[in-house]
Amino acid sequence: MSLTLKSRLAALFLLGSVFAVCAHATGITGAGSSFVYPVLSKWSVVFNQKTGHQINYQSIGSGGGIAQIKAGTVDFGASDAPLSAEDLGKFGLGQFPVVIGGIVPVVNVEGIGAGKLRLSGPVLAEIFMGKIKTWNDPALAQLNPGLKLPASAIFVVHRSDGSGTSYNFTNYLGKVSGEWQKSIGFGTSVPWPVGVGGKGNEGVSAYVKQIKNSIGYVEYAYALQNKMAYTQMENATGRFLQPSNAAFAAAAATADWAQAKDFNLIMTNAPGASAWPITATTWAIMYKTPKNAAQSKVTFAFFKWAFEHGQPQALALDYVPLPDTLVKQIEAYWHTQFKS
Amino acid sequence: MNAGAATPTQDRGRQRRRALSSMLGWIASGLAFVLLAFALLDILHTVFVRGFAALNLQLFLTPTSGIAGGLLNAIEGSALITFGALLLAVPIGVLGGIYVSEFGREYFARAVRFIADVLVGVPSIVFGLFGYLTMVTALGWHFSLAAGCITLAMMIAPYILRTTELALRGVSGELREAGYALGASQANLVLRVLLRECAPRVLTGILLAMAISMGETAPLIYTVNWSNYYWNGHLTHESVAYLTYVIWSFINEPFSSAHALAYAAALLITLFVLLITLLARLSLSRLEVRRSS
Amino acid sequence: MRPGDALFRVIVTAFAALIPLILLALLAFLVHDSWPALRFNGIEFFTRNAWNLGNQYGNPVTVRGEQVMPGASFAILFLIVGTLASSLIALLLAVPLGVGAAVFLAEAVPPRIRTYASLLVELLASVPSVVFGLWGYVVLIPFLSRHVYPHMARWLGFIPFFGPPSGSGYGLLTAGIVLALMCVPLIAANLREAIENTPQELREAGLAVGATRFEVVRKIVLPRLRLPLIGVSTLALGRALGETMAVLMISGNALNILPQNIYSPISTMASFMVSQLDSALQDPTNMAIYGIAEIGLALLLLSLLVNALARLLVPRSLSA
Repeated sequence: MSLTLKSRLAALFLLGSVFAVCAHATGITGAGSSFVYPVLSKWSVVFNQKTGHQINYQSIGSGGGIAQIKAGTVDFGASDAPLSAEDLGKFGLGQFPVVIGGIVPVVNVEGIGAGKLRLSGPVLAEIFMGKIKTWNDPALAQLNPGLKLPASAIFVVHRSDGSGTSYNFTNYLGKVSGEWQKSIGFGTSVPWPVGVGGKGNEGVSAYVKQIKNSIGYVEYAYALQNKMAYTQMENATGRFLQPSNAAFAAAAATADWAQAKDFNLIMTNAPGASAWPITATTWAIMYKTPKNAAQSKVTFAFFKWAFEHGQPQALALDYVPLPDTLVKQIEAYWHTQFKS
Repeated sequence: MNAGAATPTQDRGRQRRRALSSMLGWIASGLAFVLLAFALLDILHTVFVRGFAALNLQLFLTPTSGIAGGLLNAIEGSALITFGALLLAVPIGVLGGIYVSEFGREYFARAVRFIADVLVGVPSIVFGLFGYLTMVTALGWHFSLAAGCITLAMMIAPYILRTTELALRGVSGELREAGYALGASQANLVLRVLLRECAPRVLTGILLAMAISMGETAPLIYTVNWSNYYWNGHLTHESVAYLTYVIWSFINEPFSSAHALAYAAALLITLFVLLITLLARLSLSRLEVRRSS
Repeated sequence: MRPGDALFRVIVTAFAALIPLILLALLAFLVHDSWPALRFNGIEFFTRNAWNLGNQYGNPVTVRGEQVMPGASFAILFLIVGTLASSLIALLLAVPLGVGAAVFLAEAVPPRIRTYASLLVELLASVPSVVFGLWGYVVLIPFLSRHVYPHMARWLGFIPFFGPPSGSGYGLLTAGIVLALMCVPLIAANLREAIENTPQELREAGLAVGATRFEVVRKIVLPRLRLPLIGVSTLALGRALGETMAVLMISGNALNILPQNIYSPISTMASFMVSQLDSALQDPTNMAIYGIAEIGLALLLLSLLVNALARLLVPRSLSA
């Protein structure tokens, strides 16, 4: 009798210590968007040094990440576009923004340096539709009275591969141009009516640098690193803005998150006065009632740390950390929606 | 000539026109040649000038690192892939070529010959897709050296088969008859006598296959992908680097350090392929001269 | 037959049998892996311009018995047009150039330097495709787009499809030009050999009745070579259809649009397969990969057809 009791106690002790070890250094898995891969991996390294927990993130694309979190094979998914309320409800998922990036048009025109050219949404859409064909078109001249624009053709460069960058860029064009929305629409890959296709941000930049009098669109970090001539954009309030981390953060802060259930809002054309009109974010997707409470808790700890202390790493990689107002909204969302 | 006999003036006029059109004809064909030669020289000039400008000792000592660095991992990887492909393709091609040449009148031999010719013309990307679907995905090897080697081997084996067959067929019939008359077995005859006789041509075929294999990109994109590191000894589950990938993807980066690597890689590959092809063609023509004399 | 001979025969036959096995494996696996796409796409695959992976952020749905992302469709009319148009232009340029160069090399160049002179044309065939693409990207396209196409569009604009806009240089005509350069050596080498092998008596007969040397070539030597020319041109067509890297780097990578003139960007079946691989790998339903497999299958069947035709017309040795 005592033997059985002793062995039972021993077994319990062993199990408990195993659990303790597990709980002490949990391995979290995530998968999805490649846009956030650099910053997530940097954050996970630092978080690991501080707490011993391991975050393992695989950049297999947003679609793959969504599929995996729905199947429950990862602890969180990361997507460049928000899931619909219907989708979230069906699977019992919640989502929240993680980090912000800006998308900027870049040009290669002689004499026009970074931040000189002014563009408005409708004009940008018409350029990419092939309706505005030359640089000295009256629409462009009107926006840029002091600038000398050449009489040559505009060469458009877009993405040949599917991407979240294209998704947000075309979403913006659809918001500012009814014709774009009707005839082309938005998505990771659209039937671009004009222009050549480059592969990845690198491909677009390479083409823009190579082709004189061309225009393309890339992530802001890319334009900075490659010293490209990005343009100013007119935002929803009619102001012309230079792209900057502050402008992207302003877009994130002033976007109408309060009305968007589960942060289901694409931030393009945000209404703030200092908001950059083509700003994008990536959402983390997790189960509201987690399969494994301990893992879920560590995941939230990771994101909380990243929001409150991970700004230096994000900025170093040219990402924009979430503004405080948004972080507060997200943390409130966690408390009300997620059961941990 | 024809019934309406012309006057001397008409005759001279026609002759002048014919002389003129013949001269134009020579000029046109000469221009065609010059245009093509110019294109080749311009390509070589571009590759050599920009490639040499980008060459430095570091290229041969360090691996690529993102968008800069050296080419050592790519050189190593290209060599490994080609070596592996040849290792698999040469036995198949040479032995298969022996079959098609020595048993050439059989139905199966004719079928193999036809299929080999047709396979030589299949786009390399199709082989790459096949390699991806079977080895990378279905067999679970992921992007790997083995998948790349096997895919390239499938591509060049038919080529080696045909060049071996042609080399063997070029050996005179008398040698064969003499061999059989002396009671040699077929194996002995082929392996010891015939192959030795046409070994230079067989080797030339293998060299050309090596040049083709070093210059391939698309099938490797589908089966090997890319690695910034040296080969770590694994045949599966690990990628390697290769020079042709550098040419394609690094010129597509907006960084001049990447462009420099692309030109240097283009120089290395083009030099290698060109030297092999020159060697092969010139030795083949010298063999022709020796045979006909 | 000695026992050693029997073993020898078995071994060499077995190795030779691997070649048909390769062809069978290609066909079998490509058919098997494009089957879901074949079922999903139907005949529309060839008739519409709609390559769309669907909403990558949505839920997979089942359409026509297959799992795809909502809104997905895979139709490649623009690829077929791009492939055929670029190969056609390539042939239209390569055949006259090849015949001209072959005539010049065979008739006008002294035999001693002929080997070296013909190398200047034949070496074009051994330049790797990706190096052609590099040269096109850094040298040819800036030159054509700045100095040739604008003038062509202006002066030749009356010909349909030759008018403005003259584009950025990345497009159909550039692809045709580079493909022509890659295919010309095949035509030139074959034809040169055939011209050299023309019986001397025929030439002498022509000269005897007063024809000029060029007329002898044009009216006596070349007409005999019509069939071999067609055969080797078909071989060249086969090569042009399957070229990947060079076209990928210089054709502009159009998506779902047909070229509006000869300067417009295009995509070919082969170049599209490479440019879309990364995106296709991210489709969780894998239908995009099956779609690419279907393109590969179409390309394989097309090249088999063209190459078989060529080999039937030119039953001789292989020329690389």
